[in-house]
This record gives sequence, structure tokens and C-alpha cells, in this order.
Amino acid sequence: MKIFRQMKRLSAKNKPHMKEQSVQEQGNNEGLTGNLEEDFQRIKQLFEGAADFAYREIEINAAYSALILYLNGLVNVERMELHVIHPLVKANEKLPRRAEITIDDMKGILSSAQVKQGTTFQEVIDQILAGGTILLMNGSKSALFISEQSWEQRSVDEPVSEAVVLGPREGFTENIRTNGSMIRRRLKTTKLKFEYMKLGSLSQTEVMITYLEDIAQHSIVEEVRSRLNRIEIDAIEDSGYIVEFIEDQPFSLFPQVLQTERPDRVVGNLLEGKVGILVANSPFALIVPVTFFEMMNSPEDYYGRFIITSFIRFIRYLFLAVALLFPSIYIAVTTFHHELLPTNLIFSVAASREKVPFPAVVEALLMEITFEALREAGLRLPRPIGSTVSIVGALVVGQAAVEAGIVSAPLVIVVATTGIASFMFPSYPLTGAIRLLRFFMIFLAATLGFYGILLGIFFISVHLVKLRSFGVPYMAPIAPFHFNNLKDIFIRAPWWKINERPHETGKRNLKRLSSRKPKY
Amino acid sequence: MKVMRMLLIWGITLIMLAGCWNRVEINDIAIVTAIGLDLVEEDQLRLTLQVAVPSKLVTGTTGGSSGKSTIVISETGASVSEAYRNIQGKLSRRIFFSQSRVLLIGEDLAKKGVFHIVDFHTRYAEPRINSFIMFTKGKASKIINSMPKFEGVSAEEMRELAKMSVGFKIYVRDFLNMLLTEGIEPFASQFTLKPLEVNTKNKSGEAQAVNGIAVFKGDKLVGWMDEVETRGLLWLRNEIKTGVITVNIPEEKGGGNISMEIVRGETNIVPILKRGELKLDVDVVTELSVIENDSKLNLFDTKVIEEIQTYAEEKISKRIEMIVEKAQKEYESDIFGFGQSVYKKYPKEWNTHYKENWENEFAQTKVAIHSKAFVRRIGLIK
Repeated sequence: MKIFRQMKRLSAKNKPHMKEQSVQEQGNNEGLTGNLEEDFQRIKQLFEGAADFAYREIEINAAYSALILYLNGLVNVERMELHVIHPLVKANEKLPRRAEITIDDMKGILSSAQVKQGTTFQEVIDQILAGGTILLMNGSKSALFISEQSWEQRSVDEPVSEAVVLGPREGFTENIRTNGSMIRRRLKTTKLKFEYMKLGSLSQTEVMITYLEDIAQHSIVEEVRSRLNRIEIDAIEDSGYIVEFIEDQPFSLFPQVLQTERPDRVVGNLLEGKVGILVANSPFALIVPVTFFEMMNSPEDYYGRFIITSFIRFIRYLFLAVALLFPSIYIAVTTFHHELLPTNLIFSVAASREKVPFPAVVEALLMEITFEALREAGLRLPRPIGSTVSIVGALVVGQAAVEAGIVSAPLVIVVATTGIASFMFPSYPLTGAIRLLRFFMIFLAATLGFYGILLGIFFISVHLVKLRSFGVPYMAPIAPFHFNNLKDIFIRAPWWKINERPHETGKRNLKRLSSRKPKY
Repeated sequence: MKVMRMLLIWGITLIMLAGCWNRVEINDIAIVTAIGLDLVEEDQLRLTLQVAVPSKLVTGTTGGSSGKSTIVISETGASVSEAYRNIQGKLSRRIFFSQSRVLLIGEDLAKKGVFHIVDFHTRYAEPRINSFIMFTKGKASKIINSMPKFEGVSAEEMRELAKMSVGFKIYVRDFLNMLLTEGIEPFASQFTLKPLEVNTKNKSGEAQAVNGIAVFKGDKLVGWMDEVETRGLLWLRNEIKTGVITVNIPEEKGGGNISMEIVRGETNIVPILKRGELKLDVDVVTELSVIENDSKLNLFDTKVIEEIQTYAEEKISKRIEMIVEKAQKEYESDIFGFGQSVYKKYPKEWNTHYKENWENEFAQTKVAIHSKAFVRRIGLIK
């Protein structure tokens, strides 16, 4: 870990250097002059070369000239015409009959829902970039910001990465406001807080911290806030950028932030005292802190029947072991511990290996890597070709290789089972960790046998127990042990039995059920 | 940082130095399925191994399955390990004992003593101590050479046969225990080849069969007992699980036979020491159910049932008496563990008196058999 810390230090040294280079808009903090022509020229100059920059001059009462500024594509032009331009053009009748008309009077004319006021150039520019419509008036030192943004966006869809059979089917979109509304719809309480901030010196990406007051711990919310504020980067394209900045142990293979597409999952976690982070232009919300066992839970666990869910969870943990250890156990048994196999099994394994030219390790690595390649190829290719890849893979790698005697049939079974097992986990980043650790285990098993496998499990366990996510132990509630929280770990107790929030995050307000009396 | 560096060095040395040191690919081992031992040329030991040929065993994967699925290979030596090393010289793959579940020892060798064989089998890490130990009249190699009927390997058949509860299941570990415990002498299953069909003129092949037991005194074979006598030993050792008792109905009662299945059997050996005289009470309780009746007796009559029960009791005691007599008079070998039961009840007396000359005492001890039989069910038809 020391070596990691050193790398971290090195990258920290680079940070101020980065700051110098970063492109930033500066020096626009002066106020508007009130001279329309002058102000306009200055703004226009800033937007030079930006073809989507648009403006329109309007004469009010034939005496005052006003100017509307906006960016094409970010503004709903129809609504702007209806609520901004039309009232201004027809202003004559409504304006008070006096000599001076100020920009404040305009507020009475415009029929938009959101109208704000600002005085500096910087504010004006920010508003234009965010999709606002700006109204400037000759002789006025302040500008009106009219919110009529709207742009093309994906509609609310079923989440692809976390499909469920039972339960809600809506997933987050790229629009942060839609995403926020999905959460709000599920928690109609003033305790639900959304905190806005902007990250990325160029992208100015909107980021929302959301949590339930009185349930989430202040210290965790504060920690999230400060870690987010520490991010210095030019642009944030997806919440995945943020994950790497805020993780406790960036070099760990295990994800310490839960990425989810599902609003119901976010809400479920908020109720446990977690903090959610929504990022504009990303359909993936982040949830912190998170534990290993929460990564293993699917949102569907909470919608199905609890006994069946508990069984499915058992299968999931079983196949976690399979995904991590099956190839290494096969190698250990066939190269070190032949006495462990039943006699008839050892005959068939030995017979199938009779013509294989490579040692079991090489064979296993060959197949595992081929499988990874197949998986990646199937993922990247367009869908119609994707199925071709799997057919070719199954035929070439599966059947032909066995028939040619290059790999043994039992190993194909092992690799295939492992492959299926590795896609069982509800958390995609965790899948990656397990897949990578599998190679580590194969290496250990090939050199040291079962002793190596044990050693590997030992190392992984030590790492997991040491790992923390925003100060919360990763293996909670197993280490540190907390009996009452076991109701939702390996089994899923019925809802009327889960009377407490997880101890690590929800201790401010543990009670979940209004009556502690169990149903039976 | 220092700790980290140390850990790194440890990890690397661990893998570099210790890694792979006993790595053998599964297709580089010769899987031994049965071990046979015989005495040849007065004092030489002959080790016979049955080695599986996987490619011949498993059909389908690698084409043709012509030829024998096992090879039998043997070599002589002064000790088991010497013979084993000699065989290795003839095999291109490493001999691997751990899959072998059968240890077969020939008569001549057993008479000379088997302690060193059991010692090799338990001391050396590879052979399993839960493999079956079996003895045969004649040469062990002959049985190891026999062809399998159902399984791919004849050793598998031997193992399956030994596992069935017809006879005793004696593992090497049990044999060693009996050998080392005082107050009990070892015994093990006897194995032979028998013709498949009987009383026909057909030329039938031969099948392996469990055929009674071999009786030891110390580590030396003293004699054999046949199947009927073995049943008696099962009673005495409280290991009877299944079995059929057939009683003859006397002529004056109409004649015929009644066969009964043993549902449950329990035996208690109670040593009684009175005025310096040792006596052994053997209480046998059996529950039976009638499965065949060709006599003229009406089984619905409780009086008749009681009568049958006494016949059964007599029959059981007779069987047990017979084997006790044989062990006491002919072999003078306490395979029943009478000495153990004496030790458990009278440890002081055992240590001061009986321990030293149990051999003589055993032959002279009176054994009283109290048999109790209950017929619980009489079957479905009238």
C-alpha cells in the first residue's frame, strides 16, 4: 500500500501544475455598465465563434431598446416567443405611463415562471451557458434571467444495467432535474434535501447531493461535501469521474461507491442513512457509503417474497465463491491434490487431459482470457454482430478446441460455469473485481495448491476488512459484527422484522417500523 | 515501508522457493486402484499394483477404448517400499497410491506377519488408511488380475463388494487399531474368486466374492472362517444389520421351513468376575419378521409365534456358540474383543492378572449365551 501512497503523493504534486494550465473564464466579475451597446459588444466578443449564440433586439414603446440573448438549442423557442417576446412587443398597453421605464417593470410583463435578476457579466454568461434567456435594457445596470430551458433528451427508460422482473421499471436519464424529481416523487417530505454544486472548471457540471435530514449523519454528509469540493478537473462527463476522486482507497479493486441507474435503489439507500450524488448528464447516481454486502443485494430482493429472496441470496454467495475460486480449485486439485477427487472422476479428468499439450494452468489461463475477450467483444460490437461472436466463441472455443485436444472438456465446463457465475452479481463494478482476482487466485493455486488458495483468500479478507467507504467499514455488519443488521445480509427477513436501519449509517434514527411489536 | 518491503520479499520467496515443488499434472500419474502383496521365494515380497489406464477407461472423449482398462504390474523387494521403488523403474508415470481403496494380502505372507505392510500403509502419506484390507487364500495377484464385470476397474468392484453389509467392513485403520489394542485380535475380510453360476455345465467366468474372514493372532494369520461362521461373528460384534434366519420345523409339527428377516439385532457382552472366576454373559436380542413360510403352522396363533421364537433363539445361540468354540479352541484368538470388555469393567483385575496371560485365560473362559428373539411381523398373506 505504501507504493500506492507514493503514487498518490506524486499525483498530488502535479495538481497545482494542472491548475495553471486549466482553461478558465476569469475577470468578468465587473458589473454591467448600463450602456446596452457597450455591454452587448463585450458579451458578443466572449461568444465569438460560437454559432449557437443568438440575440434579438426589441423596441419597447419605441423609446427603449431591449436585447434578448440566448443559446440556440438550449432554449425552448416557442415558449420564449410566447412568454418573453410577445409580452415585450405588446408592452405598450401594460406599461405605466411615466417617463422612466426600468427593468423592474419588465418583471410585471413577462409571463415566465422563473425570472431572476443579476448585475455582473459573469452571472450573465453563466446564465446564457446554462440555457437561460437574458433580457438586457438600455440604461439598466441589471439584467433579467428568464428560465425557459429545454433541450432534446432521452425519455425515462428501463434501466439496462439493473434489470428486474418485479419492481419499478424506470431508470435515471441524463437530465439531473428529471432524476431529482424521480427521487422526490418517492419521498414526499421536506426532510429530503438536495444540495447543488458545480464541478468542472469548463463543464460546470451540476452535481446534487441528496440525503434525508435526521437520518443521514452530519459527518458523512459533510465528508461528501468536502470531498466533492476538493475535485479540481476541467470537465466531468459522467459520475464515474467522481467515483475515482472520492473513493477512500482508489487502488483497491473493490468499488467503494455504489453506482446505480435505479431511483428506487437510491431512495432505499437514502432511507438507510446513505448520501446520494446525482450528476448532470449521467444516468448513474452514486451512493455512499456502501458496504460489500449491499453490493451483493439486488433491488429486486426487496420486492419479491422474502423466503425465495433468501434462497436467491444464498445462491448468489455460493456463486461468488464459484466465480472467484472454481478455476483455481480445479487447478489445485488436478496438479497437487489428486487424492481429493472421487476415483471415477479422476479417471475421466485424466482421460480428457491425456492429449492436452499444456499444463492445467496454461490451459485455464488460455480459456479464461479467451472468455474475457469474448465477453468484451460481445459487449462492444453492434447487437446484430454480437450474437455472431457468441456463436463463433461457443463453437471454436468450446467444441473445436476440445475435439482438437487443445483443451480438456472438464476445463471448458469449469470456465463456462465461472463465466455464468461472474455475471450473477447485481453490482457491475464488483463483477470486475471478482474477475480480476480470479486470475490472482489461479496464479496462487498453480504455484502453491490449496495452500495458495487459502493464502489468497486470507489476503483478500484482510484487505476487505481493512477497507472503508467514507469511514464505514466495508464488511459491516460482519466486521464489526452487529447482530440486528444480519436480517438483511445473507437472508432477507420480512419487512415487518427489519425494524432497524443499518447501524453504521442509520444510528441517528434507528427505528424503521413505527411499532416495534413483531407481527407474529 | 520496511514492513511492506519485508512482506514483499516474504511473498516472493514463498512462491519462488516453495511453489510448484510437488506439482504433478493429472496425466503424469499412474493411478493405482488396488495393491496386492504376496510372499515369493521364502522371504521376498511381491508387490502387485493394478494401475488404471484412463484413456481406455473413459469412452467417447478420446476415441477407441480397445484394450484392457487396467494394467497389472509387479516387482519384488525385501520391503513394501523397496518393491514400490522397483516398480517405479518400470513405469513412465509417477505411482500414485491415494486413489487405491483395496489392500489385498496373500495367505503365505499373512502367515508370516503383516505388521510391516500395515505400517507402510499408514506411515507413508499417500496410501489411504480408509482402504479396505482383505486377505485371500492363495495369491493376491490372481484376484487383482481378474476382469471386472460392471465397473471399469475390478478394484472398484472389490470396493463396492466390501462396502455391502454382507460381511465386515474392515479398513486398514480398523485393522491397525485391533492389532494395537490389547484384549482384541485382528480379523479382516476374506476374498476369493468364485464361479458365476453354480450347478450348471456352462463354462461360467469367475467373480470376486467376499467369503468369510481371516483370523489373526497378533499380526499373523492363524485361520479362516467361512460365511456362516462370519454371521456368528457379526452377532457377537453387534454389527448385524441385515440377514435371514431359517428355522426348521420338526416333523411332528408338520415339517417345513420358516425364514425370517432380521430387523434389528443387539448384543451385549457382560463379563462377570465372581470369586476369581471369570464368566462372560452374552445377551442377544433379535427382532425378526417372517418373509417365507412353507410349514403348516398358523402364524396368527401367538402360541405358534412363541414356538417359532424359541426355535430362532436356539438357532442364533447355536451359531454364536459354534464360532466362540472355534475361536477359543482352534485359533485361541480373541477376535470378539472379550478382553476389551473385561478391561472396561474390571480394569484393575485386567492390569494385575489378565493382561499378561489373556491368551490362556481366553481359551478357558466360560461363555454363556442368552438369546432372545421376537417375531414382530408375519407378512402380508394368510
